[in-house]
Amino acid sequence: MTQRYEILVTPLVRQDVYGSAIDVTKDIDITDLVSRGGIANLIRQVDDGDFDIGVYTFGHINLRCINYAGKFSEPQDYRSIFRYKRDLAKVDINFFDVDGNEGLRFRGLVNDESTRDDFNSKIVTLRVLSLDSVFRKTIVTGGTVATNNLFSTAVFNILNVTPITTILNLDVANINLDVDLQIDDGEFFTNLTVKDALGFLMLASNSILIVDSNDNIFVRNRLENDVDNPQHLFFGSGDPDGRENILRVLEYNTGFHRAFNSINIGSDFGTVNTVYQPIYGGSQKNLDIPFITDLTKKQQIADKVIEEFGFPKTEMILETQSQHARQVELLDSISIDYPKQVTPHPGSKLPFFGQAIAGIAIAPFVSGGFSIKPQFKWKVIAISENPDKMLTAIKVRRAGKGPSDGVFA
Amino acid sequence: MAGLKFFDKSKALFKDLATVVASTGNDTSKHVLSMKRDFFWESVGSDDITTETITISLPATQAISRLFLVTHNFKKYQIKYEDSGLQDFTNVVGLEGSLSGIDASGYALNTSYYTFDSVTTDEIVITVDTTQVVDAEKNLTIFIVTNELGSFVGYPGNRGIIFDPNEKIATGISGLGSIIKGVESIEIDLNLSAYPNQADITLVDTLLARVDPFLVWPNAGLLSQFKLIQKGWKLQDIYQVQTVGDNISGFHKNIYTSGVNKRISLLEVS
Repeated sequence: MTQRYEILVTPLVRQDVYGSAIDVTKDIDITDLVSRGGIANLIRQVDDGDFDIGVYTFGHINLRCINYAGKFSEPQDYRSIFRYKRDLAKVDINFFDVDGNEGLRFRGLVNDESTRDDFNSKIVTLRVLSLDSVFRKTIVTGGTVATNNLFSTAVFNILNVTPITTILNLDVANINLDVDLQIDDGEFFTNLTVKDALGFLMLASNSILIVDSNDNIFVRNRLENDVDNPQHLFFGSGDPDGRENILRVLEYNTGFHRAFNSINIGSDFGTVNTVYQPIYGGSQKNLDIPFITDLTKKQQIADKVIEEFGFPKTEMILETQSQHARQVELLDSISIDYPKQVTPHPGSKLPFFGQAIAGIAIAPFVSGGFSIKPQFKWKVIAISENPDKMLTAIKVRRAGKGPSDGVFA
Repeated sequence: MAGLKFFDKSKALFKDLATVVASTGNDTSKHVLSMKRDFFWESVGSDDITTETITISLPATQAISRLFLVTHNFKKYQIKYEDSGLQDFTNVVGLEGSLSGIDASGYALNTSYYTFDSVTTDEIVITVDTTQVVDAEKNLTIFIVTNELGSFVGYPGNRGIIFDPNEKIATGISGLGSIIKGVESIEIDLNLSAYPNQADITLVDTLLARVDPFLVWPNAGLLSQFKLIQKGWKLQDIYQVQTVGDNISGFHKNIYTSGVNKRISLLEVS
């Protein structure tokens, strides 16, 4: 069986009501209508970018659909599969590996503001935003967040509105912030978009928001999903047991750009980690948290940020075939075994410990600029899939918060 | 190049969760399941009065009909399979001829290949008594159990087996080069031009349609067909490959009653 992607569309039939499960693969084979190269990379990530710390898993794709038969036209076209509107139609992208195992790789909503119809080429480009993009279109109303509400209460109240709960599943048991303090100014959040409001709260609480493949919202800390055991194993080309599944290692870096040992919050508070700063030099981050005015709370927030990001942690991108990354999720723990390449001298065998005889065995040629030991623990902070090439780029950061942690027991 | 043989990928790969236990030198035993030509198993403290045992467990019960021991120094050895107790293979044909079971007493080649009646099993046991050099440590590089996909009957054209050293080349300020050679990989291009043999054409179509990698054995165990031997054509030269490129079906000069034109390129894969 060949590996393949499948794309399914579930349109709205009326306001806030989606149609009963339309099997578009059978009746309207959407995959036939998606031109080659028509899906851009599917990106999910924990942080906003390389030089910042952020909070979001917010991806989007452009779906280029061949519209010869009018299937992707506006609802006015009787042939269209969109009977109510194109906006907010659900799009699922599933991946099937060579064994036929299915995995949901992306679930999003059509954003019709950005949809483009090309009359000449008969191409409709649907902009599909990940499900949490509904946060950008929802406004926090007055009274949603009260002064002295805990961060967790505020998060729940902000999310617990019909436009969001229609699409995503919200359970208070899944709201578990790393830092949970009382808010000094609840009115600050009024009239902010939910996205912006949550952004502030995630930053202040050192937490992230993730929507899983079952549309459940989780607000949680940044700890890897399994702290004791690797959930996925990746091997480099030097692996002696033929398990190589890493195609390339990209952007290997020390993580200095994302290490901050000096935190300012507003104009009246600043703190420095006096242990790391002399070693790594000053690296300052200014946090904008207007809803916290109490200095003790600012200290708690800053301490948490420095604890999380004060020590530079190595990062890199692993490129692998999508079938090897089918079950990888954000914050999963990974072991990477990337030994140096060894080649025996011509006419001799590789010498192995416990078998080689001194004076007879010949040391092999060793090549490779660096190696990675399998006992180091890494966590996934971004996943970018290229459906056209069946490749996935997994961005990982060394787990832990200090110089001696981040290893499997 | 008559007799080029193709096989399914090994049913006993470490990365597919096959396991192996050796009586000594167990730390290196899993190398025999890696398809890596530079890594091998070797006994520790063995000699010709010490019998070594290698037990290979397949990831699942599977049907097999071909077996390779690639690059070894065994002289006296036996191989059995598990089926309610250790059983002998039947209708065995090896490089040394027809055999009753896999039971060698004076083996002198560096690679073994056996065909036998298909068996369904999840465990193979190799018992090694002596080596070709007296009292040497016993060693084995690659163990393969598989089934045959087919063998060429005719003579597809080819420009030889290409060994790519995957070198990294840089030029210094002096103008002198710096070359670092990586892991070698092979490429084989076969050109069927006005090709007349139906079985070979069908085999090529089958290989081109495969999703999984497969094995190619250029030597095919036919030592007598070579006047001179060279790298890539030796008994131990068996490679895990996959086809790359399009399957173009056409007839010579577009005359349907003439032979077939077809190309197939094989690239070594991990």
